[in-house]
Amino acid sequence: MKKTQTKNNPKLTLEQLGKNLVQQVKSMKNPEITLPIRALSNIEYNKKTGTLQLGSKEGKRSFFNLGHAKKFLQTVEVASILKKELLDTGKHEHLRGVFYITKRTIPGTNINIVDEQVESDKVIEDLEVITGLSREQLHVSANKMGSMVGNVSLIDSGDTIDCSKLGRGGYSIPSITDELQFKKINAKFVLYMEKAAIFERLNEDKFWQKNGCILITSQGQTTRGIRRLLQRLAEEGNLPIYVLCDGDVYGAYIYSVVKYGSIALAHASERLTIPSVKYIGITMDDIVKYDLKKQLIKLDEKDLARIKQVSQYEWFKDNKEWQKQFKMMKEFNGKVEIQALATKGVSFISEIYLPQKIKNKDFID
Amino acid sequence: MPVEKTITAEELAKGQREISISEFFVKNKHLLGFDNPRKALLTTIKEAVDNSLTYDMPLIIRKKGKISLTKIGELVDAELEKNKTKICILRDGSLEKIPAQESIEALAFDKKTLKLSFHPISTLFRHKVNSKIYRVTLTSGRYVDLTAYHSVFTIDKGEVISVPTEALKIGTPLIVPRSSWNSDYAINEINLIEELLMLDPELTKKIYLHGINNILTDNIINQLREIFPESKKYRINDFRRFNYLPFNILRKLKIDINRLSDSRLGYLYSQHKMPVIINADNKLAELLGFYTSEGSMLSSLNRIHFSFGTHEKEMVNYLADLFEKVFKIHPKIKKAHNTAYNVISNSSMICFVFKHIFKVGDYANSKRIPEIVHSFSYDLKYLFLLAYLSGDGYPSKELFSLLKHKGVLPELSIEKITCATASSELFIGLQYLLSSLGLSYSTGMTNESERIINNIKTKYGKSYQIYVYTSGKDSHLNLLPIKDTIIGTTDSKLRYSINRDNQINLSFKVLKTGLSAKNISIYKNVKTLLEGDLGVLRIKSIEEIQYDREWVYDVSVPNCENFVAGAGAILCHNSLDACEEARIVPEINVEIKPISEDRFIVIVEDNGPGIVREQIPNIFAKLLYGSKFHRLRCSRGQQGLGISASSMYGQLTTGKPAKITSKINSKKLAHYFELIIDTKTNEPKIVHENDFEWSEKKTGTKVEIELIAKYQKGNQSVDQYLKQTAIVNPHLSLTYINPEGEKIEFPRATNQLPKEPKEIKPHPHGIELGILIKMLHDTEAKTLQSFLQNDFCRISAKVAKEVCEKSSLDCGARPERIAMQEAEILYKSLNATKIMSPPTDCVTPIGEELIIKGLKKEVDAEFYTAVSRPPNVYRGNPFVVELGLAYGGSLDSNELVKLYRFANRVPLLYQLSACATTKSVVSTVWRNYGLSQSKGALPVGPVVILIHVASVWVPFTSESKEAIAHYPEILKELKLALQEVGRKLATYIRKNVRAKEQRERANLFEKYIPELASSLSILSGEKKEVIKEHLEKKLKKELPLLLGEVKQVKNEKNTDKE
Repeated sequence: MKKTQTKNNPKLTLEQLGKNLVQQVKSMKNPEITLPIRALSNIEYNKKTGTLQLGSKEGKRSFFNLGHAKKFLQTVEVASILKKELLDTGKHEHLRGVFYITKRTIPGTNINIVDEQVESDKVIEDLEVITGLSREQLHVSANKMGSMVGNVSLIDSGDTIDCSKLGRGGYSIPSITDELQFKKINAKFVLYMEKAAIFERLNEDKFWQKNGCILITSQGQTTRGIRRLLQRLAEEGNLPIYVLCDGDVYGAYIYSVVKYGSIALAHASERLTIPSVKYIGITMDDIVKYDLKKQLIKLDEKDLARIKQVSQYEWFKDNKEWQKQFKMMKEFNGKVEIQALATKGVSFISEIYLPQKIKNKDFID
Repeated sequence: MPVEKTITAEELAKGQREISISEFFVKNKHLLGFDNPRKALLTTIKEAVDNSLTYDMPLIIRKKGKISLTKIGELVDAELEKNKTKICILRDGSLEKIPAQESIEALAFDKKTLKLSFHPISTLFRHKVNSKIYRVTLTSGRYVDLTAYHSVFTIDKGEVISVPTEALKIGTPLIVPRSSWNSDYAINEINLIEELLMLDPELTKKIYLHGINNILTDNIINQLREIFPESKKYRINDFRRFNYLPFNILRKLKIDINRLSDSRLGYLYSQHKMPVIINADNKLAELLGFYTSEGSMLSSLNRIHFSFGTHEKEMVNYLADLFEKVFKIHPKIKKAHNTAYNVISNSSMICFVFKHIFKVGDYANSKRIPEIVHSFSYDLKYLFLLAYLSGDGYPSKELFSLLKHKGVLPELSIEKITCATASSELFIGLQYLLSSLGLSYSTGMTNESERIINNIKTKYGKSYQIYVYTSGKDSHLNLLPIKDTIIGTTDSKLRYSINRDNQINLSFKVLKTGLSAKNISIYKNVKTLLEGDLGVLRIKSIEEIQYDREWVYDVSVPNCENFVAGAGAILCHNSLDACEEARIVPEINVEIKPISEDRFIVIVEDNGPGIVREQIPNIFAKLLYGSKFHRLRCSRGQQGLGISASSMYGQLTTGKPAKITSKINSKKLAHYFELIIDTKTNEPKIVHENDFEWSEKKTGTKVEIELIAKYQKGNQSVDQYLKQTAIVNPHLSLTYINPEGEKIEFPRATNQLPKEPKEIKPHPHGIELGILIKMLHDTEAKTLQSFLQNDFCRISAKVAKEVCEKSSLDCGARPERIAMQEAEILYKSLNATKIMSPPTDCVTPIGEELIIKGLKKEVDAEFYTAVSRPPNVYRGNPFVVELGLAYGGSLDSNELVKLYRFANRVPLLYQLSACATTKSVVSTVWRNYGLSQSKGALPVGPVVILIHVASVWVPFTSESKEAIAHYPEILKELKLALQEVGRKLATYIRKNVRAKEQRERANLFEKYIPELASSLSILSGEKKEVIKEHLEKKLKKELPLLLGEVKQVKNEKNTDKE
């Protein structure tokens, strides 16, 4: 199945997919879907663009195959649902909603087309890759996660929103951020953090006001909506993006996702990666500098294994700074959370730590 | 102020006394298994549930053309002795068999034609006596001694069928030979040289051949020269001169016997010389007949004489004449005294021939039919009979005249001839003779008695009488049972006589007439019966008899499966495999009756042989009585303390006595006892006893005990115990009524009884020092070496000497003089010496086939397998490990596997985690065999595992005997057995379960296709039906590929990962 270039017509794309398969069936072939393999083995790190990209390896999924049959069926089924229920009607639906529509028992058996949401989520991602369309283009939305505050106002579905006047909650970032329009941006940089607790801390301390920045949190995994938003802010707003994470390998990974891309969404890297993003903390040097050694949490086997794995990633391998960080992690045999800064004072982070770092440009690339 | 008294030793001693065993156990109930009410119930149930032809029977055989009547035991024992290397021992030594080494034939009837003739015997058997022996006596007196399960033949609706002795009743008709039967080749001459050659040289060393000059050719002379040493060569000249040759020299010569036909045989220096060839003619037959009735010989074998009364002068002359014609010697006639004449001959040669070749007996008590007579032709036998009857029978004058003119018995004026003899052998031989002549007879016997004659007390010994029927008209042998021959008749007269209630038999003659007149209808095979050689005699009595020998015997006659044997010809079935059933197949009924919430009556009833009256009180109300502790034998039972423990517990908790009923003989009354134990003295007290008629039972025992107990279903319950017992004892038929009144039946799965385990002597590596010392003290052996060899197993002379040497003790030392320290050294040397492992035939495994049968009975699964490991040894004790496994079916696949553990066929229900069997199951990696398993736990799956450890001495972890101890040898065997069983399971799962899964998956496609077609139709806009059709066509093509695709799946899955 070749990737169609018709980004603008998801309906047609899906229809084409269907027609293609039927063609195969009619010619008594074993109908199959080809899609690029989305595993580490097929990820290439493009040094020039500084992004992760999918390689050329492709996998085939065919129907008359004991191992693939169910997946194949799921793929086609979801595709048909997307077309019939969403695209044809113009409605949007959440991942979970799509799951529920898809989930039903095959008559005459006790097998369900999908049993868990994970399965339908994966299929949707597959379809993205197969069709070359984004999830949003397929009218599938994810949960909203994340908030934003700062001197920025934007237009969202016809509403104008001033993110500086949204109290402690901030603007709730929608899952599809492509359609947002920036009206006015009055900030010097963007600070992104995964942890919502830190966001609240900084928000309460009016950090963004005092430092003239935009605060964004994802409250968990960095969704593509947020990544896209960050990218747009970087490109359209011409703002530097700083990432604030825990001082551990997972923080490093979050950073890398924002910067280089993710394995799962390697196909969408162009739209989501921000090669210019910088890592502000917590670094291993911070531990030394700000005397956080007592706050070290011992690493366990899983952590060590992850360090080993991540440090070997192609995009980290040649990064001396990061290698140094990883080495130090192993040396200290511990990790540190952002909240550890609170031992120095509740607002230490907003009054001293961050301003210092920014002033000194104490970043890791 | 109270002064503390110091207690003296004497006062202490006063307070001490021996406590009886009962008292001990009262305080230590847990040792008996009565820890708590629930276990008490279980233990009580456990303890309660847990409690051919004989040697002398004559058999008629034909060996090398000669017919003889031999005792079956003698024949089989002799064959086994002669050919020890060819003996086949089966069933742990309880059965020995040997293929017939030379051609022996038995008289048997052909199943199709029902005619008698001689058929070859293929195998001879003897088996250990393991059941009652019955004497089945028929009308007319014939009898045969058989084991309960040996079979004879009867007639049932025209068919000749076999029936086990056990099922016989008085009045049952048995098949016997009726028509005359005879050898195909009767002898017509006796070559004495041939006969002598077959005798032991020791016997013939005094016999000489005379008139041999014609054979002294140069060849012979040369042979003779080689035989004799130089110093004795002169003897050859003697032979030539005196024209004789010692018989034993003849044995060493290569010569054609026929050339000696004209020579004569003499005994030492005696004058009389007998011809080498004697004609088997009427003269000889009559002569032998007379001898049998009137003749005798001196033990010195130099005189033979015949005694007659003075009124029998005619016979005297007749006989003398015969004698001369046969032996060419003139006998003397002497008048012994006023009333007796004697015909005498002093020829040693004749005596020799009579004794060793004709095989006549010497005295009145040992008289018998000369063996050679059985090989005579019909006519000769007849004459022999007439001659015999002339001497011993009544009316002798008539009989003699019959003999003289060679008449036949029906000519006589009377219908019954009487003759009597004191010799039982002659009695039986005559019966066979009569049978072979097709003559009917009946018998009688008078026991020893005393009578007063002429004022003198006279003792009469046992005497046997035979009544020969002259015409056969009145003989029972000519009758057949009506109900088994005739279906109906149109002849009114006949019908009338048949319908009369008291007529149950019909004669052959009437049947035949009816048949030819076509006015009776008979069952299918009656015609064959009428034309055959068989007849019927009804059973007069069936009694159990005492039999003191070790073995009973049988022969196998292929194709016929029967043979003629018995005291008086009766047809016996060669039913060897039924001899296993000669032991009683057990039936047990268990009932638990609730009286109140915590009080129950346990009733256990079996069909065993019952218990002798005198023993009942001791067995049920005396602890440790009759326990098997001293015997090294695989025995059932937990504590070995027996049922008395249960009686005691019942008595303790409810005060009620144990109630025992026992019947040992189906004809006698049953005994009923109510017993309690006097715990102070450990003696039984009879509270009540009486005898009564227990008509529903042949033999058996019933135990009733009332006790406080708790009934609970579940894993450690009576229900589970009985169910498991039924599994490992597939020959047991068990009926169980539980306290809720439900009746649960465990029918038996096989009639095959388990082998009786052999008792063995202790193995030197398995005993303790204390035991060794006791053995030294108690042994009957006179020397240390013989003590070691005889009182232990596996110690040969060489090993015994080695041990003595090692311990620096004299081989000839007296065992009881061995001192403590020396015994210790001896003990150490014994353990240090390499001694062969003990024999393992003393452990009786259940066997793979029966384990599977047992499992199939109680567990509903789809796959069964079993493994019975070869016996092994731990610490000098032989043991065997067996495993059974059931998989699938109705078993729950999400539960832990169920483990059924057994030690010596007794289920172990408690202490699962402590048991060696559990440990080995847990430490087996079941993942390799297709079951999932968490670390350190039993695997999960629809499986039942049965583990059985049988041993002379099963090692338990504690005195409660619920878990097997972890001996490395036992664990190893368990491991190996589990691996074997696991492999079999894995193979099954692989083949069947995977195949099932694959097929199911392939079926999926059929379900997927409509869905796929529907989705594709939505996507593409094409018609659903068209798509579906194409997909279905494609599926047909792809299916074979799909089913073989399991391997591929694994690879593909990897590449599809994120």
